[in-house]
Amino acid sequence: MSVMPEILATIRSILSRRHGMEQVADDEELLQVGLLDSVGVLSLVTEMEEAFGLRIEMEHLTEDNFHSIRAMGAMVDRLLTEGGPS
Amino acid sequence: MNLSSLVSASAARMPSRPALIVGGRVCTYAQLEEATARTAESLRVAGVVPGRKIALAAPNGPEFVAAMLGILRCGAIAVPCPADMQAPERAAMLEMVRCEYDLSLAKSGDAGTIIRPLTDRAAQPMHLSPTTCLASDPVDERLVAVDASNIRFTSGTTASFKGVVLSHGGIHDRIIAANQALRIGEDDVIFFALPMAHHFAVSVMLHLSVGATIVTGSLFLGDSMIRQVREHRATVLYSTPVTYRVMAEAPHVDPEAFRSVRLAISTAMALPPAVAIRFEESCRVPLLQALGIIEVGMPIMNLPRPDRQHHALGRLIDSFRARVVDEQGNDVPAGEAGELWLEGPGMLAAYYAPWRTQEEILHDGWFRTGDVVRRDSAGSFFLMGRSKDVINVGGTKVFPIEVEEVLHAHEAVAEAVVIRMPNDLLGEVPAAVVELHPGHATTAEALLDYCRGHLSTFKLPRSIRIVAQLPRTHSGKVARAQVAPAGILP
Repeated sequence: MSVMPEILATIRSILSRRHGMEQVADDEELLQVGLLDSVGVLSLVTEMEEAFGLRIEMEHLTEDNFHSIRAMGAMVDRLLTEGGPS
Repeated sequence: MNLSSLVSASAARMPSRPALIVGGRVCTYAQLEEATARTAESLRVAGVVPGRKIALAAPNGPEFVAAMLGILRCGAIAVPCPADMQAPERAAMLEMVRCEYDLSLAKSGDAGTIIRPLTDRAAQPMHLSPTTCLASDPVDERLVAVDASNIRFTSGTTASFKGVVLSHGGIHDRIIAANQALRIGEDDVIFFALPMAHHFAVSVMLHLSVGATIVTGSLFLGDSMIRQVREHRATVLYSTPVTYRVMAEAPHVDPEAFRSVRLAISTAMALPPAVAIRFEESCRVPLLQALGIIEVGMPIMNLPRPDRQHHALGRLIDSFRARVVDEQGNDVPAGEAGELWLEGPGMLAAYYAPWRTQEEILHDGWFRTGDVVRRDSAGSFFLMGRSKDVINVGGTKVFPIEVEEVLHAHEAVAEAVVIRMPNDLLGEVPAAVVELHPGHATTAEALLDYCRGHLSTFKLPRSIRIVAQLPRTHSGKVARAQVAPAGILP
């Protein structure tokens, strides 16, 4: 199932506005980039929770869910479908 | 002495040993030494002279470390700042510390001096630009006189900002004192999950001075951190309780990944006992607390001992002395709460703005921390609270007044109060309660959007509540103690 373009656009906007990660392609591998420290990851999680009105649990903080913008989008899509906005 | 010479000594002893590993990228001590020399030379060529202040923003990695060391080597003073600062915050910081130069990762189209500290395939160039302070300010001789190496910009505004000046010799003394307790050596591999901009002075310098390897910089997710610990056989973990919780609660934790670890140190915020217990259960490594204070160093650690208690800050390390005192400055008996005063090697050299010398700051050699602690009869310290008005967001400190000033600058806001709100993930977060000017209307969402453009993410109020009237005292001042965030009753 394709991830809704609006979700990807929101994540791109958070990464660019708040984390200085501009012009990152949706499928670009982020794990080796090293731009997000621990506070950065948690800030990103907070931003995503606020933007999408959902809760991201500790167990969601994995490479599978965060290795690219598309992976983050798929996670958000899944959480929105499973739980509905909180 | 110059701190950068400690890294030169490590490079001479073991040139091919990795100093830093970031993702798949390895930077050896020889490469780091070469990058330091190249940066220092480029800065000199660009006109940087000893005593000039250089704001440095870069993420964890070889570029950040080489730039820090290069600045120190050419006698300039580094002002490290987090890479995610927003433009208005950065401008305010440059102005407050009167930084004459700004050094950060180069972006396309940057005009000015381009510095290339490293030459490997993943190397990123850096950009040096002079600020308006360079034209107007003479070299600050006070900094030269105290042998300043860096100014730790804390956060905040003219009301709360101090800017802690640390000297080369002071940091060296701290490193020696801390390592008498930690005993980190060249065989150690440190998994470092903290922003280097905040933790350079004792931690990063200590590890590099003994020739250890620092692993850092990749995405800090539960499974990726555990993989890095396993892959690089980390012997020491160094991070905040938040990171340890992310690791402990990752899906399918294999304690085998942590077999090489001999020390897991938690710092920057109080360690909740539940996090320590969960980490020890999942990862089978004791999690130890260490108290770091910018002005002092790392004087108290909860090192492994049979009678260690999870929630203790720990004991005083050798070469430090401590007092627990009441409001009159009298020592309180064991078991009673009081303010923690410390005395030992490597104290701060000065506060920068306004300038206060070490002699003016210390009271007969004692630094008054503002932290309220209790010391039991066995000598263990327990943190009871912070008397300073600071919100600790996942180990990063926020001054409420800084957020309040941003809100006050909004046309609809008459008065704003920023207070702490408990948060499951980050410990505590800022929350705002706002009174509007008569006749003005706005929404919490609009105010939050406005704050986003002015504040780093971790400083953003997690909730904004608009009230008809803030509670006030008889004299008309806002009664802060009676203000409650949204969702929490007073």
